[in-house]
Amino acid sequence: MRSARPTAAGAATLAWGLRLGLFVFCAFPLYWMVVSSFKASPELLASPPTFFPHEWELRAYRKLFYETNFWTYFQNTVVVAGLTTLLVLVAGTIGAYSLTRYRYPGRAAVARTMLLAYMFPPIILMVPLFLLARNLGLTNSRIGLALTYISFALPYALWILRAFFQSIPLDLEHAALIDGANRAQALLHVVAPLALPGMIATAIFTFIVAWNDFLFALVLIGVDELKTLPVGVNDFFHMAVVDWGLIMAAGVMVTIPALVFFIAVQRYLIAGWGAGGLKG
Amino acid sequence: MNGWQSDPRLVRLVAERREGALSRRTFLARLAGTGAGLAGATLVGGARPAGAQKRVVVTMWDTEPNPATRAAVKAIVEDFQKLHKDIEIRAEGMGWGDMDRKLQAAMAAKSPPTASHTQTYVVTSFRAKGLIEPVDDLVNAVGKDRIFPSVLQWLEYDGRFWGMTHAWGADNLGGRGDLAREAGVNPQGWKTWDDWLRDLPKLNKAPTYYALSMAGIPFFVNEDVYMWTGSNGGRLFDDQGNPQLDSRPVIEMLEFWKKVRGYMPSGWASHDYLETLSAWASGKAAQCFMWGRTAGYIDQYAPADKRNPDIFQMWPKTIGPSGTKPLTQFDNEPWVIYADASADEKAAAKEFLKFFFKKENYRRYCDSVPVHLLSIFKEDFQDASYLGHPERKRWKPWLDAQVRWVEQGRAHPLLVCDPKERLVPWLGDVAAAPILADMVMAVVERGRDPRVAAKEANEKIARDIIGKAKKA
Amino acid sequence: MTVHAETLAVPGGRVSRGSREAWIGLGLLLPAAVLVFAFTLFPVGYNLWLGFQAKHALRPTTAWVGLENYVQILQDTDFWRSVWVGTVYAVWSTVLQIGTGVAGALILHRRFPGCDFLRGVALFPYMIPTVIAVFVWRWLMNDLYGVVPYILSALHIPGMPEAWLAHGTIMLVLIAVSVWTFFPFVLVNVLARLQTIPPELYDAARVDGASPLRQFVHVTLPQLRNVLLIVVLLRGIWMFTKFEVPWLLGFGGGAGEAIRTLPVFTYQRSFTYYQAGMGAALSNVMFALLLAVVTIYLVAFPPDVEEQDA
Repeated sequence: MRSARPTAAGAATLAWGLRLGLFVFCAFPLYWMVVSSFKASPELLASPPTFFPHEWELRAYRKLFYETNFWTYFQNTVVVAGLTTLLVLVAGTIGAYSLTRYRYPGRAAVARTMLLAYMFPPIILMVPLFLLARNLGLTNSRIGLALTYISFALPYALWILRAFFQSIPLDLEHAALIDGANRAQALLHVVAPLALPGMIATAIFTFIVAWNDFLFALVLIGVDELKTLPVGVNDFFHMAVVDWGLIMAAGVMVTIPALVFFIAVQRYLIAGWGAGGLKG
Repeated sequence: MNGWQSDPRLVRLVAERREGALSRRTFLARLAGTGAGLAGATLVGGARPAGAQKRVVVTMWDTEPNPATRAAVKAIVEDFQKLHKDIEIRAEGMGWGDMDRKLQAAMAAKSPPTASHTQTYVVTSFRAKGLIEPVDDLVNAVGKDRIFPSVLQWLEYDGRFWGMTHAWGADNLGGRGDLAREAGVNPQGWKTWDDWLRDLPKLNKAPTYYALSMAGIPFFVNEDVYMWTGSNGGRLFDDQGNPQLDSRPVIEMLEFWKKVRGYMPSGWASHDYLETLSAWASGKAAQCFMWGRTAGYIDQYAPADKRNPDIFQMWPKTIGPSGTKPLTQFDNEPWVIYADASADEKAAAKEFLKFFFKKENYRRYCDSVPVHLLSIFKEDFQDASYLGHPERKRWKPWLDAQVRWVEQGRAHPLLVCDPKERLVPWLGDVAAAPILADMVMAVVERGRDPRVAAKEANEKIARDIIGKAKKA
Repeated sequence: MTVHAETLAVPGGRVSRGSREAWIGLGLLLPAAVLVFAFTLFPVGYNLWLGFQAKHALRPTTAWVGLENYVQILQDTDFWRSVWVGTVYAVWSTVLQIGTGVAGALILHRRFPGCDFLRGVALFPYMIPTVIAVFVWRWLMNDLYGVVPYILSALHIPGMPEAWLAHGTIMLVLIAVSVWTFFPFVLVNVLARLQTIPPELYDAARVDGASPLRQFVHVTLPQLRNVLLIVVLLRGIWMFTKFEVPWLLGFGGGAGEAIRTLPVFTYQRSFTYYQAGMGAALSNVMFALLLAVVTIYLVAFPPDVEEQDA
């Protein structure tokens, strides 16, 4: 034990070194976005680049909020992603409940079959999806967009939730049923609270699918008032003068909420995926 | 009881909803309006309610998504709708590549917009397939005689006009006056590629700055391929539309590119055209091929004391060993009207465009990017109020350089070296495909023999584009 | 340790409950099934049909060409090159995501001051829209203004290229961006799994005098086996079909020809060569290739099957 002391100090140093490395790897691009968004334009293109702005400027943010529809895009993205998440959770939860609590042929094959949906490159589904959406009157509609994302997010959501539900002991439900609760009550009051971390993890995964998509939002949405962030920000690259500072500011405004959000929810996220991973 | 389909208003409403032209809320509101009317009409026997007014929805896609232009378009649309309460103009702006993708999805669904911006080669292709309509009435109403002949020239096929240019511009070689003076170079004396190659080393102080910045993204490589081939007396296609990439002018062009490459940033092959503009503006490149909008880059990225045409000059484009006159690119994107739209919509779109081209409205549009969206009207270039705009005044040499190309008739649309090549049906396919850019990269970046690379590109065009085009 | 799911036996059973249960179960699954298949079956069916057609993407007409598209694909050296480039990309980016993700999870597994913060930081790249992530990396790696080449040259590291976004090195940048953006998915799955490994297993190993490395190999890895098998599968599929990252980094040409992966090649057939039929055929080929690889993978590494069909 005595000889282990220097090794322990070395291990601590190594651990902090690794943590620092991970931090720099993840955060440096973010740092660079933040710094760039506050630089005056000529300084943005200075070489060698400056690691800290000579002069802090709010110009890019002012432009972002007053001269572009950034806030509209932001709201649209939240609405579409929120709607997608809600529907995926509802359909996924009852679907996963069915897969783990009822017995019928083909039960195990279903979750696997659904993962097949990922093997078609999304890019090529673009045109037929547009055809379909148009015939259903779902172009230029946030609901149409949400339905598309649901079809992408559900297979994986179902898969996580299924694994998660499998890990919840049946005894508790038995007890509830014996007490005279019906199946719906048992699901709502017994299974769902226990499955909450798994549902949060699913929700986050789903939210990200909808939050990040560019292709389908581009094709299904035309009018500016309904555009989502990725499409709206992409338009910044087609301005008469591409303003790198503006794009960096947009990046920061998208990233900071994500960062705060992840710091806040990482506990649930890890717990959720963990319990789901039990079976996986 | 022959259902809702007997009521044309409902049919129209449902169709609009299906196309996504109406939001669900508007649709339901209007449906409630007509529905009540329908019930009433069934009861009383045919009387139409006065309240439900028919509204024509016109979808127009343009390729100018920057905020200033969007604001101008929005203002024009609002003024128009005050005069035409029965028409709703949905003007959507997007980048060129995005529009191309959206148009493909829309075409597959047989629901193109009512009108859109497009390129000359797309006009050729769509016209041949009956997808767009001639717009002679529009051109005449706007005033055919007022428009630059070299703008009209590219819109006319067999005596009819198939599009209406929204604004034009011409590509120029921009050069830094201060760096030329420093290096003791006189660019205005350049005539040939050899003159240029002689002076490029003097303008190259890598890695502080490079003599030339060029874009390596396929779309922009295509531009340089045809401009340099055209400046070398060559063409890319013969009269039958067969590729001529193994012809002498093209091979010489590739050899030339290899030499020029030595004076460009080493990462040029991934540079976007916009990066070349910022490189020039920020002093990382002595020259770049540029358009009027570069003025905005200079105001944003160049030091304040350098934002003038004495520093940011227009330099001559040079000719190759087989050429006699330099050639440049003509940005001459027309509005086209799609044949599939309903007659009402098409008429309304034309009505709007007539309004758009009215002097006071059109001026607002052009002023949104003053040295980039140039007026199609000759008279404006004699008009003190047009030329007196502070930006146009400041960048007068840029304006003059662009007008000169148009007057000389040496500004041609994308991939058209010889005017006859405009009629090649698969020009647009070649422009979008990466075949020409692959050929250039093979020679310049991967050291392939120009003859071999050109032959391969010829074969690919024959197999992948012409072969397919003849089938579908 | 694992609880096997069984059918929930409802007390006070009635006759022929079995088939009624099955119907209710199917009914509950229905919304999910409809939502998934309504928006995937039609597009997939449409693509199967379109693969037999010649169709110009900008024109409404089609012409039947039978198997010609497929024959041409198999003879096209550019296609095989894109399969190779796409495989290199998918394999390396998946391997490195797994490596970085597992390493990150091990770093973040035990609590330390600032652990919650660092966990949040390590997860957020996954949430950044690809458009922005790729743009920022293009900016970081730019040969004229980029900060990374500047740092590398200031450190006088030998053998660094003048430009990273050039033919020879753009693939490395592509892999780096992809690892940065997507490794948090691996991290969160693995970290979550690590948290559920009973500490007693390590205690036992420590008593046996196992070194940290041996503990990792003999305790941690076996516990991670299942989650890694699934994560490798999903990430592998997603990287093989990933389009936006290579496209936005290279735009399919220039230096981007060195990262013309199969999805980019497919996209270009459909949307820049305007050969919609050929594009559909290519995506069907991609599907078939993936299906084959995934089948082999599942046979070679069967995940512990815990669920048996009734």
